[in-house]
Amino acid sequence: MMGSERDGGSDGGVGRWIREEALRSYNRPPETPTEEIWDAVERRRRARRDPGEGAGPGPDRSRGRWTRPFEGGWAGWGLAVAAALVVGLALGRFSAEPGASGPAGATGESAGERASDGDLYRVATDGHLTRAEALLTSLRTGDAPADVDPDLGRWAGELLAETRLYLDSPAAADPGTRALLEDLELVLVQVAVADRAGPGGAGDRERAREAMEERDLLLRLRNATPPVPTTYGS
Amino acid sequence: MSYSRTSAADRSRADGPQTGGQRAVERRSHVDEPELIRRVLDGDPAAERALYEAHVDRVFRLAFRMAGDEELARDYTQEVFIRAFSHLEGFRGDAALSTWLHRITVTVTLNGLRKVKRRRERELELDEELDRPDDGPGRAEPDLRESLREAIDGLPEHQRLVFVMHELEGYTHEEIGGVLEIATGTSKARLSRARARLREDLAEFAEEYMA
Repeated sequence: MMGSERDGGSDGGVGRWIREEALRSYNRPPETPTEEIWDAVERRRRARRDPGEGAGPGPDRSRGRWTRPFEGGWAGWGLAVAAALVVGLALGRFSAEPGASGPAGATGESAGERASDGDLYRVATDGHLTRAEALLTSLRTGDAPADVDPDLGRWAGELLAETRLYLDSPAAADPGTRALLEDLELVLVQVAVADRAGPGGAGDRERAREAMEERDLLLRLRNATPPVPTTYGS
Repeated sequence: MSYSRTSAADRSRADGPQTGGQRAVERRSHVDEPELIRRVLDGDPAAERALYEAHVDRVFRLAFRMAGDEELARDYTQEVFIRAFSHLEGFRGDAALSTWLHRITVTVTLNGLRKVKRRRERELELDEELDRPDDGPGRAEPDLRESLREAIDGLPEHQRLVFVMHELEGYTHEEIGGVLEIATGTSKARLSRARARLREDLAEFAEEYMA
């Protein structure tokens, strides 16, 4: 028996009304999409057992999860172009890299087969973090508003949109990378806000610097990106 | 150990006209849990599917009630079963399998919602600053259901969870205690506080509507 009687207390008419109305209308579940969820579970489990199948862990891309970062509106097509450039550059760089095929004939696999999604995302993420490091360095060294790159706000906005893209991607599966991207997002928001505030944004810029220092963000970015090019997947 | 049906009447009441919960109860009543688990661990695909079918409805419903978003609820439900199959070997059987699964559901859903909330707050902060919305006339007076939603959403997380599980999904306090690893009395106390807060927040609406 539901409700107040089972709990041994009296809930009254108002309580009963709340319960009945909530039952009817509060996040009332639809029919359980049993088959769709099962298909997605099986897909992910197969991918874990056999990464070569390419299904990959993470969100079910077939349902357009990748479109979510584009719902923000203001990044719009610029974000799409940036994302395509980033991933395209990463793919091109990897496939052109001499020795990317690794120990020749060791396993009979081609470079393409051995290049995992994880490696590609790592390459793309490294590039992103390097650009973020450049922006934060500019922020840190600019003591007066006039010293700060005049395009800093626009730059921060673009990097912010990319950061959110990476947060929604397998790149953020690693907890350390995720934490770094989240802290970066926080600082970039403050920089972008400061820029929009114009001369009155000095306080926001200072807060961004403080947030950067508190989180050791610049140091973490430098540690997260390789100092010299490496051959991924080897 | 056979699977024990609990709160079937409550669950059917919580389902209302829906029959998903009732179908799930009927399926579960014919499944011997330890045997099913053994077959799953042996890699029997039919057993995996049977385990999934026996529990997916209630897992999804709980995730949806908490998240209020179908895409999120699907993602969380997926994650629950991914984790369940990965860690089934470690399931000791000291609680019902459903208790264990619903514990995973609560963890996955609450963690997921916290991340969503953090991201939305940050996005909203930036969007508000960039768009500089004018301070025009306030939004329209919320209607009844919106007020109810806001009141329930505004409950502290641990109260909202007990309210949703008990009042809307028909979990007993014993089941809630097992899932949340709290005493039955604590579950009752949290529900009592949730109800009191909702009564206070919604008294005006409730009286008008009931009149």
